[in-house]
Amino acid sequence: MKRRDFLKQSAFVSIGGLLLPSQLLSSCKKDSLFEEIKFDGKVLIIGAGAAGLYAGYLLQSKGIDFQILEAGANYGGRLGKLTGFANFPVDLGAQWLHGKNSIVGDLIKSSKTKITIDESSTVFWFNNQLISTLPKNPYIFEDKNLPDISFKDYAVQKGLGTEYKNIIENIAGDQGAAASLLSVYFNNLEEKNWSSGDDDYKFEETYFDLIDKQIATPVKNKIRENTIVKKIDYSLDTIVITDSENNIYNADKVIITVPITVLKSNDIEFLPGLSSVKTTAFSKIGMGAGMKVFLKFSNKFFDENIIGGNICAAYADESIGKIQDDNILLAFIMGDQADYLTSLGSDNAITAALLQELDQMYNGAASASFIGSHVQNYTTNPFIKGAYSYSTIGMGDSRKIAAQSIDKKIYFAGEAMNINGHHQTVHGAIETGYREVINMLNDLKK
Amino acid sequence: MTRQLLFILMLTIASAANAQEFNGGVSYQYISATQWNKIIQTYNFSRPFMVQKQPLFSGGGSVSFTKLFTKHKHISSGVCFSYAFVKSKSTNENFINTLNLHFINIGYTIRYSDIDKAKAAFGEISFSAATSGLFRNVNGASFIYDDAKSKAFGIGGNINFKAGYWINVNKKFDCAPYLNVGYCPYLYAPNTEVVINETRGLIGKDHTGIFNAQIGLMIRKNSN
Repeated sequence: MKRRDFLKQSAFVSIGGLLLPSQLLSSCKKDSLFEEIKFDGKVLIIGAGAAGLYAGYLLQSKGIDFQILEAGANYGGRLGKLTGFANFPVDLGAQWLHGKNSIVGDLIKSSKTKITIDESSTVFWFNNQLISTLPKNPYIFEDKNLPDISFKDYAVQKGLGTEYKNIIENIAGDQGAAASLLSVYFNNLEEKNWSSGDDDYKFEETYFDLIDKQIATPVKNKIRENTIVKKIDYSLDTIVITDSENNIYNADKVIITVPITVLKSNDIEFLPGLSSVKTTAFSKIGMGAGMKVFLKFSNKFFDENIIGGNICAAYADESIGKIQDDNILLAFIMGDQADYLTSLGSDNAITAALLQELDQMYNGAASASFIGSHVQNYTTNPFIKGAYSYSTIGMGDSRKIAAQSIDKKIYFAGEAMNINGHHQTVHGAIETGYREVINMLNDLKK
Repeated sequence: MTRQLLFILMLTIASAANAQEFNGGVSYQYISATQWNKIIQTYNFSRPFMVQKQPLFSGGGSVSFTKLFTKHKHISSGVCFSYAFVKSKSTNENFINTLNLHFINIGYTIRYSDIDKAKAAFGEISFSAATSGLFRNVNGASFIYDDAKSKAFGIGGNINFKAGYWINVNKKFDCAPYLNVGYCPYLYAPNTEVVINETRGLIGKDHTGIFNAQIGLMIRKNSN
């Protein structure tokens, strides 16, 4: 064989060799999923929080018909914005971006949204004085071989006495729970999947603004507010949804994104009824009380973060990360403390209790410079009923079971349904929103 | 990484004492990794705000070296080393996302050839340890969070089949166009989903199989 002939032949064989696998694998080589799927049915999304809005945004981008039913008067769920109270917009709900390695991080980059890392300092209210360092390290909940007991009991086991009670409440409160209800074992197990990063960031505007501008705006005309879903009948091919005004909505698929408390309390009736396995899974996912109280003062007498109060275990300077600098102190109240303050019965009583505690910490400076307050109590909101989900003692695979779809018709999303460590977060809710759209389209392929 | 490279270099030098043949090659490499494709597809599907989609990992460049140091009739054997680089880049407004994927394979190769002839077809089978490193750049810089680069490493095993034909170029060198087809049935790279889709355990497995094919050119010093 002549060299020229050989080169021709080898080139032919080589190109063929490369093209063959390309052809064989062509079905796997599309840039995006479901490019070939055409779905002419209708999807109803229940709940216009981060998960519901994102599911709608995604369906819209794929040209799939959908509608979002929101029980409340406004979309956003546990995201919100308060204007006019301070000289900067205040986050009524979620306000920290927990780690930037997430889909929200990508959204922030692509939209050039301004965020800053929160590196604020902390003082502790400990034995009736403010100190910058605690005698013992209370952050003991990420160890190996942790038992399935509460944070409260584990802290006692590890020698953290009653003087650390409110510090432990703060650590558990960050996870949305009272220290007596949060499982050391399951919380740690779920945290191991966390992949977004540990730094916290604050928005120059608000978290709500990002979701509103980038996600909600394109789907606003598909949101029907003040629509309280009472019944979902999925016994026939077409799913029939009934609201509190007896209006009927038909759909081929339903994505439920309501808070876990709404499912736990059977506010929505399912026909056929949900299995006991499903309802037990709902019941094992915790969601405690939560509220945010914004206190406005004429001067800044307070530290950037104050941890360990008896009325409120976590205060934070709300102006950090904002362009303007009104003196706004956020009282971030969770679990038993939120239950107690709710029981006081009025916003004025809640504010008075917080001022009294701050006066004790700062020798009367709080009352002396107090201007006003705004109470945002998520516990008393009938469509939310709490802060965010947490890992209970003995919860096992409850999130996984709760998140499983029913009959390829009913899908579950929302932060509580996040099974990959990002529950309690906006980006975790968004992940479940797109996960369930993917699951739904996968079911159509089968 | 530097330590591994130094080890390979030492191994190559040590084996040179009895070396019969040293080959070097460059190639275009095609890869297909099902699980990684799925992660990128999910990334693209879930982010409609990215107008330009992230391409799947497919084509890249590769360099390889083989040191043959034993011979029995037409069979010779030795160590092989290869490095490959595959890039996936999407350019969107304010957001240029680049995934840089590196592979290093180190293994043992067995070659059949009629080495007495300057012109000779040859075939090779090699078994190697495969390692991968995936890094993410955003807007031209390493994506850093928590003071560390976004990265995922992988480890597995690889089998490759290579066929080529030596051609005498001049008195000093022979060259061989070749075709290589390889398969890594199991590359354990648990952090890949964290780097690409910024989730863990949402999409699926922490390992992937990788098919690869290369077309390239090898060169060796003429033994005649």
